[in-house]
Amino acid sequence: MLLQVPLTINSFNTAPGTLPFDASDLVLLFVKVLLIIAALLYLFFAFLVTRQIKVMRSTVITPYSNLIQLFGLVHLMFAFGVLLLFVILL
Amino acid sequence: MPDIFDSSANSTPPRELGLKAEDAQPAELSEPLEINVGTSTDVGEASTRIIRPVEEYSMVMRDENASNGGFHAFVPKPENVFFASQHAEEKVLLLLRQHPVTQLGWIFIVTFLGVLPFLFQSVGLLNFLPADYQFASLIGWYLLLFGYALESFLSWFYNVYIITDERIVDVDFSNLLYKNISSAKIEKIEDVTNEAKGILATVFNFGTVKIQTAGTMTEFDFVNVPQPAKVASFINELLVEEERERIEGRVN
Repeated sequence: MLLQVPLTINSFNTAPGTLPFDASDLVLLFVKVLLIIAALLYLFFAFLVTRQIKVMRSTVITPYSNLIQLFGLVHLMFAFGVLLLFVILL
Repeated sequence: MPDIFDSSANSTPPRELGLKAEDAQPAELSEPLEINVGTSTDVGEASTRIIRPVEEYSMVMRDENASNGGFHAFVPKPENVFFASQHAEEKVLLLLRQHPVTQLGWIFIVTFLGVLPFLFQSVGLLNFLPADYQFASLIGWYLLLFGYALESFLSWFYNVYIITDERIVDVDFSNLLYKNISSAKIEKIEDVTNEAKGILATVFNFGTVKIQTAGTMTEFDFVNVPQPAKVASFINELLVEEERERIEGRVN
């Protein structure tokens, strides 16, 4: 079916029902891929932050070290949740 | 200065600091602490260092109560606070961070960026996006904001200046991948000056303490610390005590 419609510039006409896809779908798909890549990079950053906190905790030891480590883990979990959200929801 | 900036304002009474949290035992302040340093001498015997409680020789610390080293910028005689290269017999006497007023910049930015999505929603700026994309962008926005706030807080909390009875230590984490710890022995200190510039520094009593040393790192700057005059006085008292130790031969 797709082969019967030549892919020309006119194929990006957004008028509904005339083509098997429209330009806005393509843009949203592109945005989704970008968001997922960004979320992956951010997850790596969040992981680095937890490692940084570990180094900081071992350098200066305070009674609040565990609380700060918890902040780092919450941040990491948040980043992982956002990545899942982008994959599932979008 | 408001009490929230000074951890000594609502802390416990002074007590002798221990080497570890579980080892901390209250002791009579008048009794000097005798510690076997264990350094080798010419005759091969371990030397003995007699450490006087800081309240005996420091007018500054006499007026300060011990504290638990919480989220404060001026932490005298912190309990349960240690650092990586601390010697077994070394006591942390003062821990300093930048004054909280100097952190208002990023706190303001986080607050402003936190309410920005609500402003966007009120004018319908993101209405061209499908609802799920709007929701995802909102969550992503707050994730970025959380990360920025966490990094800024960590940078404040762990960039500390530590004064012990043996040396001064500057712990510096300027970004995610940079760590620098500098220290200088008290006896290497040659000159201590303090300065407060600007209206905020004058009103909230914070400034920079500059410490000239004879070591490899010739100058330590304790930037924007609370009560710079008091910090400088304390370092001078430590210098006098160090000189007295040498004269009295309490350290071989």
